[in-house]
Order: sequence, then structure tokens, then C-alpha cells
Amino acid sequence: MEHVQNLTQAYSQAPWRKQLQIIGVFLLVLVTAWMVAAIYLDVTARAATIGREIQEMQVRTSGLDRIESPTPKDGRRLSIEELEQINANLQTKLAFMTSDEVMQKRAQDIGFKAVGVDQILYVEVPGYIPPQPVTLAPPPGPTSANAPMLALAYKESLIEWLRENTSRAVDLLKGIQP
Amino acid sequence: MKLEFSWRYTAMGLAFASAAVVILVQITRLLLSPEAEKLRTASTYYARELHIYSPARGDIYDRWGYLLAGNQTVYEVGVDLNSIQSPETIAFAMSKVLLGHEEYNTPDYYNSVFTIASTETSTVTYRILADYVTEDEVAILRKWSQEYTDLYRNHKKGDKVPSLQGLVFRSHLARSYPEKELASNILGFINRQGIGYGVEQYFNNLMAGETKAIWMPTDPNKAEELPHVPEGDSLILTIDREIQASVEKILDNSINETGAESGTIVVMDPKTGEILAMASTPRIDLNQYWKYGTILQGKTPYNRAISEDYEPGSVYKVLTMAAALDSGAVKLDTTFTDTGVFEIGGIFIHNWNWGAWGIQDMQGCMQHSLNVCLAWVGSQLGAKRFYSYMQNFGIGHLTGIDMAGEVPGRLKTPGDTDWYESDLGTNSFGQGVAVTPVQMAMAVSAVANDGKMMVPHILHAYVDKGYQYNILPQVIGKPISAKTAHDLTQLLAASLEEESSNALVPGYKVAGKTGTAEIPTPTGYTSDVTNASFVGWGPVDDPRFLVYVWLEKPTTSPWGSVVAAPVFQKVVERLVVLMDIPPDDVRHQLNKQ
Repeated sequence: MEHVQNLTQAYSQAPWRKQLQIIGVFLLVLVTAWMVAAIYLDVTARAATIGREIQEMQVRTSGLDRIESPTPKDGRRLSIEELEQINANLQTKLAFMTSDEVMQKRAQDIGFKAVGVDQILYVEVPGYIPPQPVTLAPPPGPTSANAPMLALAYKESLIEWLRENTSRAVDLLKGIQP
Repeated sequence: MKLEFSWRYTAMGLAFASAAVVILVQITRLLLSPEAEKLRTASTYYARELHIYSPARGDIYDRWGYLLAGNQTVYEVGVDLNSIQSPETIAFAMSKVLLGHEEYNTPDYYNSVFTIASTETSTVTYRILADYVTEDEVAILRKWSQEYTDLYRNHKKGDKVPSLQGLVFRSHLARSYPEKELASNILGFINRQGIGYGVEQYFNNLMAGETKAIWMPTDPNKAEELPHVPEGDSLILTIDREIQASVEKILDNSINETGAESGTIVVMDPKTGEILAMASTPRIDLNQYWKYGTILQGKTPYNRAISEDYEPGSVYKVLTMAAALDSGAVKLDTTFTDTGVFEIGGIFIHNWNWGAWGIQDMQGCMQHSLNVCLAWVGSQLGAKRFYSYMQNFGIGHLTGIDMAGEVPGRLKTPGDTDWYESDLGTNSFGQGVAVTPVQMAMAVSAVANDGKMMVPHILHAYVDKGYQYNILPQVIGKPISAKTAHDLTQLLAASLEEESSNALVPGYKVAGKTGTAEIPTPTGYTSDVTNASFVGWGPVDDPRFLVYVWLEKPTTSPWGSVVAAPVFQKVVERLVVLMDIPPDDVRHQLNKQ
């Protein structure tokens, strides 16, 4: 009995140490919770900001855009759809500036005249290939050549990666050639 | 000591617990209150926002890649009734900025905007004020809004100050035509009711993507990906912008010079059926297509080349002669004694000058455009063979050209209630049969192209999902043999040369035929106004173009040889330059090398 009492006494801790431990554990939990909350808050805030930005881009291309919203001149980021719209606008603007009517007038203003049938001298140019109608896109062919190649790392989950590598390791162990 | 203060801890504990209970009770009460239900309902209303995704309509290019129809961003301008501060300012700004739009440049527009902007908010919070507002106009509205904000920044909250707050914009793409009037009869348009003309209408399903309207969440944490809205297919047409512009200019000048009511010119590659140019009057600036009602008044067709049939007159003799030579009913050296009159089915056929031309071979008949001779040729052919050939030439049927609004014309055939034996005689020289210019161009292309008749088409290729699909030329039939085609071509080329036609182009051998047709009216054929036509192709040994000209009711002269043949000549003079076709002797020399 005395041994037991001695043993208990030897391993028992002072009350202040117990309190310190409890406070320590409490603080640890508190700090951990705070860190988790802070990270969560940070991530969700950033996700919400990006989400908002995406929504604003979507609004500008398909929703109702307010008059006070920032414009490209204010340095806002542009969505792919907005860029496509800008490209379409520029292409059309360029076509207006190079329309037949405009080009004819420009040519006349700088002194060009339409050539007559009897004013042309024809010479043979070996290897000359007459102009062919425009090709705006490649002809249809094997799809694999032009298929977008996205690395697996951007598509697969951790579990899929583990499963894939495990099965590959098993295959190697079994002596199956990849 | 401990006991003395322990009640304070207990009291504090009870106070905090009571406060917590009160808060919980209040939260529960609020959550279950009828007002909470209203708020929840209202929140669902604001939780999503309507987005309308309109895919870009496919572009249209000419054969060299010049943009003929593209897209430009425009805006629908509306008001958010909840945010409006000054309806007067909005009405003022809108009526001033949109002065360039006919539909908004009205005395009532200010009042109508003011009324809308002053509306009390109900379930409807968004109202449209204008559409198709340009980017520049929106930029002006934004600038004014910023200036108002800066100017009245220091005013007290609640003061009535000018403001454009509440104006909202929704961008979308609208059709834009950089070449304005050029090729407008070919391109066509689709109005806001979905009714259209030309290529725009014919290929509407291909070019227009599917508009999607989706309610997107307003919660940024639930931001969703944009739906995939594939763009419409782009088209590459067979027309050449420069040839089209030249042909339109020649046509307009010819109409002015001849006093014609209207005109049409079709330029086609007889070997492929590709339409290189198609000009028709009147034309409209497609950027203001809504004015077409004032320009194309009454029954004026949008594109005469495909939508208006007429009695072609002597150009039709090409088909009669082709059928007769091909069937063996006549030969090149067959002679006919023209007495100036030919009876068929109880009616008497006369020549254009009421004269008798004596003994003529087939070239003479064509060269002098003798109605009497051709009526006789028709009778030698017989009704059965004649109409069988005409049907093989596609007369009375749609050509299948890829443009909206084509009409089939009319070919009466034996068995029809309104067909008489005399029709064989009149049809043989192009009277009593209704054709469109494109129909005639297609039929005559068989003579220019070794007997093979090609489907006329305007689409060279289309671009779908990143790939270009080229359209292959299609043979629609072979109504005559290659030999007949060659013989007739030579005959017509010699005819032009011997009569020193106004259609001849120095250095180039061309074949062709004039046409002068009286115009049928309910009381018979008029003699004072005519339809003047010309069909020709060249160079005869390697045809690169076929040109069909039609001038309606010319006043300076009724004859096709006087008014339509020179138009053909002018067109060919431009074509050989623009298509890099050397004179025949140069070409033969180059081919030998």
C-alpha cells in the first residue's frame, strides 16, 4: 500500500502544472481553430472575390451592366467572351476601313487608274501559282492531330493518381511490360 | 472566502445563460415569423439573375477573304427602377445621345423615357429604353454619368441632383455590313421578326447559333461556368468583291444611259456553276436594312436574278437551237427559206422586222435572230422532244441555287390546260415562257461547258468548329452532247463576229446571243416597251465566264443588240482584267511554251 502511495506521489503532478497543461491544450485548440478559421476565411474570401469578378465578367457579356461599373479603360480584367467581342468589333472596323468603296477612293486620290484590257503585258512566270480562294481553317481530317492535349496532372484527382500509380507498380512487380 | 464570492460567479453564469437563451429565442422567433418567410421569398428573387447568351452569328466572306458581313457589339439600354435617382436626367441624356437613331429621334421619346423611368417599382424592376445602341453612344452616357457624379459629389444625401444612376446596359452582337450596298441583293438580311432574304436567310440555321437564357446565381460562392454556346458557322462565298463592285457599277451606269427601269447581271463560271457576281437593282445599305420597304416598293423583288421571271425573248433561241442540233432535227448546214411568216397552231409567226430573209442556214437564223426560222426549227423538233429538252435544261424548275427567294418560272407543256400547239412556235423564240436570269445562265452554261450543266451556287465553303468544308461543283445534268455544245458555241461566236456585234471584245473570242422580248400584258403584247437581254461566254475555247444581262424596259432603244450587248462587252472588259485572262493569241502562245 505504501509502495502504491509512493508511486502515485512520484508520478503525480503539482496542481499548477495540471492547470498549465489544461490551459496549454485549450490554447492549442484555440490557436488551431483560429488558424483553420483564418485559412478558411482567406480561401473563401479569395474564392468569393474571384467569383464576384467572374460574375462581373459574365454580367458584362450577357447580363445587365450598371452605368457606374468600371470599363476596360479603368484597367479591369477582360473575359474571353469580351475579348472575342472586341476582336469581332476590330475585325469589322478594319473591314469598313478597307471596304471596296474606301479602297477605290484611296487609290483614285493617290492617282491610280483602272487598267484597260490593252494596257496589260502578259509574261510567263515559271512556277507561278494563280491565287486560290481563301482558306480560313484547315480541312477536316484526323481529329487526334488537333485535339487539345491537357496534361493528366490537371485533370486527375489524388485518389486517381494513387490508383494509377499503384496499379502500375503492381504491374511492374508482376513483370508486365508497360 | 471562496463561499463569500461564489454567488457572483453563479449570478454571472446565469446572466450570460439567460442572455444566450433570449438570443436563441429571438433568433427562433425571427426565423419562424411571417416576415422571415417574405424575406426568404424575396431573397430567392435576388439570388439569381437572368443572363442571355447569344452566340456570334457566323461571318460572311467573299472568295478572297474580304469580310462582307460581320458582327459588332451593340447594347440594349434599360433602367433598374430601384436605383433611379433622376428620371429627368435619364430622359434628357437618352433623347440627346440617341439622336442618330431614327426610331428614337422623335418628339415623344423624351416623354416615353421619362414615363418609364418614373414608374413606381412593382414586381417589374427592369424596363428597356432602347436597343442597338452603339459602343460610342454608351461611352458618352458613361462619361456624362461620371461628370454628374463628380459635379454633385459634395451635395447632401437626399438632395435632388442630376444623375444617370439606374441606367443599365446589356451587350449583344448585331450584324454589320462593311461593304454597305455592295452585294446586298446576294447577302440579304434577317429582320427582327425573323423574316429574311438572300444568303442570310438561306443559311440562317447554319450561321445562327442557339441563344440561351439562364438564371445565374448572384452568390459569388456559387459562380457558375458560362454555358457552352457554339458560334455560328462562317461562310465563304464564290463571289469576287471586285468583280461584284465593277458589275454593279456597270449595271447602274447602263440603267442611267439606257433609261431602263431596272437591270440584272449574272456572272458565272460555267465550268463550276460558281456565281462570281450577281447584280440587281435596286440595292439597299444593309446596315439600314429596315428601310427596305421604302426602297423595294410594291412587288419589287429583292433579287431579280432569282426572284423575278420574265419572257426572255431571243436569248432563249440558244436553247431551242441546242435541242434541235442535239436531237438531229436540224444540222448546222440545214437551210430554211424565210418567207417572213410561219403558221403554227393557227397563229402566224413574224420576224422582229416583219421582213422575209430568204434562204438561211442555222447560223443565219441565229445571227439575224429570225423568229420564223426558230419557230420552224421548233416544229421540226416536235413538242415532245422540245419540251423534254427544255425540262432537261431546267426551265420551269428551281435551279437549286443556295439563296432564299428563288422562283421556278413557268414552262407550259403539252397536257397543261393552258398549253396550245401555237405555244411550241412562240416558245421556240422565247415568248410565252417565263424564266429567271439565273435559270437562263444555268441552262446556257451547258452550251459553254461541253454539254454539262452545273448547279449554280454562291457558297464556296463554310467553316464549322474550326474546319473548312469546301463545296464541290455539282453537275445537274447533261442535256446536250459535247459536240452539240462545241458546234453551237462556234456558230454563235461566228454570228457575233459577222454582225460586228456591240458585244465583241478585241482580242477575245466570245459567243453569245441577244434578246429582245415584248412584254405580255392582260391585253396582249405591248410593242413600245421591251425586255432587252444578252447571254454570252468566253473565251470560247476555254470558257472562264458566262454573263447574263437583262435590262427591263430601256427607253433609248428597245433592242437587246443596242442596249444589252454593250453591257456584256463592258463587263467582259473588266472580267478579263480582274480574272487575269490574257487575250486569245497571248494565251495560246503561253500554252505552247
